[in-house]
Amino acid sequence: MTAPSLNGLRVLIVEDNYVLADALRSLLVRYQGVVTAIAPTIPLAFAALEASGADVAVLDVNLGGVTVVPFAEHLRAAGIPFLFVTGYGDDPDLLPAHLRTSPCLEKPVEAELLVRELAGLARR
Amino acid sequence: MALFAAGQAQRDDLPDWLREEGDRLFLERIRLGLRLVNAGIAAVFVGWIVVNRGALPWLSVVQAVNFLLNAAALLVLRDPRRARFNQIVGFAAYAVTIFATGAVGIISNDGTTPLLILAGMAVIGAVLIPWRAFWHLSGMALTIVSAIWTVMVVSPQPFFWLRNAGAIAPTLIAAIYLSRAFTRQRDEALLAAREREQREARLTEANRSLEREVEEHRKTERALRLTTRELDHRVKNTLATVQSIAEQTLHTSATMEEFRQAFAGRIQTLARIHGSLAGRRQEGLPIGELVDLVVGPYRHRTDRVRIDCDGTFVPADLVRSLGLALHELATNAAKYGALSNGAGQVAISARTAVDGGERLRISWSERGGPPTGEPARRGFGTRLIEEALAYEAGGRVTLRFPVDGLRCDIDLPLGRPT
Repeated sequence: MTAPSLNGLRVLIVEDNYVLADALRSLLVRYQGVVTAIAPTIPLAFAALEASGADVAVLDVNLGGVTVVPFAEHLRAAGIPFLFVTGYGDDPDLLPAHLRTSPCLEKPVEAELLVRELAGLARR
Repeated sequence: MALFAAGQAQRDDLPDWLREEGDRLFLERIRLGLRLVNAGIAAVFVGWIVVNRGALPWLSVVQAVNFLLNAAALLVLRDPRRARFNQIVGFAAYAVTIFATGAVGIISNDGTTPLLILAGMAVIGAVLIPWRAFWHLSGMALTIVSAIWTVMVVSPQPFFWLRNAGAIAPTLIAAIYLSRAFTRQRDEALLAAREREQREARLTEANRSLEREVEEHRKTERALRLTTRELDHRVKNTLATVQSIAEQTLHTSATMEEFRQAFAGRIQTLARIHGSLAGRRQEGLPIGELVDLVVGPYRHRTDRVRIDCDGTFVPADLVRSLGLALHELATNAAKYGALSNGAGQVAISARTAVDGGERLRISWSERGGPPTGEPARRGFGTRLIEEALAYEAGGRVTLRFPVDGLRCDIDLPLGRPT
């Protein structure tokens, strides 16, 4: 299997932990992605989306005790595909049923799996 | 009288429910006594009639019924489940005595007129006096008077009954024996009922405490499940952080040795921070403790690192990123800055200021080290100092490189950024 590529896909990262967000950004750039912004909170995520836009988004489910669900619903309404990353495993209470159709990856995230999922979302 | 007054005083000391219970038991005892006497007399009467071979057949039937009803009432008197039944039977005993005696007086022409008058008086009295004990008293009086009257007046000779005492005595003894048996049985039933109640109360209490315990267990289990889940989450986040630090350190390291040193330093810092947070129930750390924790390994000589911190408490969500930033400053000072030669000094101070909310201001200033300058490239370490705190806590960080030594000013709002 050839190494996947994001081919200039514009990605918004919502993750409250800087180290993780920074590493995720580097990772996606290495796979030819363009990270439009990293955002630690929901208000900043909205601001970043407004300012820079995005083709796809990577969402940490739990932002320092606040759920990312409102922003995910906004993306769903705006037609921007997204996937979740979480340290909570496959907890059924974590996400409302209508958002569980989006992929949900467990931390620590495997690089190629993430890139492949993102590329898949962009093709949809 | 004094005795009564003392009793009255004691009575007043009792709680209402106990006083009422006492009254109830007292009245019940009186009713029981009256009923026993009534049944006894009726028994004697019937005995006498049997001995005299069918004299006064109607009255004998009345008294036999009187006896049977009273005996039935006595048998079930203390069983609370049959209170209603008992009331009806007891009432019937007296009603039969009063009305039937009256009826016998009317229908039989055997000279029972005084009984008729007495029964009439009892009926009138019962109608006029709304008092239950009246039934007892009038019923019993009628039984007694009809018995005496019958024996004294209707017997063939005055004092004939003395000869029959021998025949009546067994009946009397039987009646007394019966009444004592009733009493004993009643007491036993009462005792058994009390014991059953107590046993039931104990069982109920045991059951309740068991339920409480189960509920307690359930709560603990729920809390434990939540804690485990939270721990799992933290572990995964920590592993993800370690993975990210490894990747980022790898990308900014020129040699394997450089990577090994930088990576080990960062992971050890994280480990020390986690350890201290665990000791403080993950609530946070005083800033002085955090600085000591992170800079400690670089303080080979205390006079070269001056630490001056107030008691500001740094909440847990800031501790990790602030600790990592301080670690990067310390490791940079040891490699290139004031702690890389034998003479340089580092001054670290931390103060809380109130400026539109509480803010933690930390100043890191180096002097006496080798001449410094803007680094050629800003690596992961620099980003951890300049960007991480701004990103996670909405803080402002200025990093400057004047010739006489690096200066870093950190300005953090305390409390969650919104």
